Amino acid sequence: MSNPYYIPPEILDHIVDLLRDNQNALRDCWLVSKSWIPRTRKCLFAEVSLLSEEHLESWKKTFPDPSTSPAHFSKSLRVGCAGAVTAADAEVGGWLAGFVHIVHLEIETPDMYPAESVISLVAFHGFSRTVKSLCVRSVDIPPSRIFNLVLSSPLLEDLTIARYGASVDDSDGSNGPPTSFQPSNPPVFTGSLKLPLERGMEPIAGRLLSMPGGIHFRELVLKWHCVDDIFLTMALVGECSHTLESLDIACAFDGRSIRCLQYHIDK
Amino acid sequence: MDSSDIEWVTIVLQTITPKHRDFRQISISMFYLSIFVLLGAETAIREVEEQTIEQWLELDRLLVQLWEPYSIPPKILCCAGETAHDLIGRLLPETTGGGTVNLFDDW
Repeated sequence: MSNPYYIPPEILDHIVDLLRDNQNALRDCWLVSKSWIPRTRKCLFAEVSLLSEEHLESWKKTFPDPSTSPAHFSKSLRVGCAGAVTAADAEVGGWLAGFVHIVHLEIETPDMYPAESVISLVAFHGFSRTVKSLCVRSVDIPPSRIFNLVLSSPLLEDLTIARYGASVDDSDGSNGPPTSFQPSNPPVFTGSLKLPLERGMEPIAGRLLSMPGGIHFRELVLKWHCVDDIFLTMALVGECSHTLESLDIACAFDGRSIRCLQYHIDK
Repeated sequence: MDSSDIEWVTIVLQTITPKHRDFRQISISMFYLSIFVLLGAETAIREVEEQTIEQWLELDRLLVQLWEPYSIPPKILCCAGETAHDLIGRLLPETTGGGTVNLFDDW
């Protein structure tokens, strides 16, 4: 006699897929039956956020063996404690490599983060060869290190740099001499470039514009803070002429208008 | 930055050429106009309007030129409200009059 509660696998896949944005429901699915666990696990660990050292410790405690952890189900990884993750990677030996199927990588530090000196991103270089989207928001990471990370992702399409560090430290953070990452296969940059940078676009845009293979972004989202940003915008628009579909300009600062407003406020 | 941002926006948009075959969307976000409106700085708004109207009208003409051959409807992002929308209407009369500008609330 057939099981009256049997749900065909394709229907179960569809149910779990519909619940992918509802973590609580996915956790409930996990408890329904052993047969539901593998499908649920894929969705439950599709997005992993390690925003603090506590999150990281909790993950390491729950999944002490990286080879059997659900890290390989993850498609999106958000890291808020890059220094601690780097230390964990060094400690276990390739701990980050467990996240082998990451497509979207986000590295950030909060505005008021305690000074962690200059964060090294070497552990993140090529840890997942499938990264297509990278977002960095950190005032603790100098542009050179961010760009070396960019170059280590050969499939990179979308790039968002929202903040970078003011440090002029150009070393790669590996205690060795300063090196510039030399990719054998540089990214193609065919998606979107978002640079809402408060310190100006030059350190990132300048490097992108000198890529030997060129850049082919379809979308540019740029914020102006100085005259250099305007000239870089023109250069990016020209460089992406054959692929550009959308241009988004945010004028964050207009000297004459701000002075006029200041004058009227002071009056 | 002594020149008005809007002058620079026009210069940048002039770099869009027939080589940009796939180009289909422009979005311009004017933070400072939104700030003026939100602060209710009417005198400052009038002054900026007087000082930069020619540059806005030049942008207006360029947006119309981009709209006609390429069917690119520009998005102008500014704060919500009648004041901001009236202001954009005065600054970009041809494009707003032709219904080719989409105003989006930025705040």
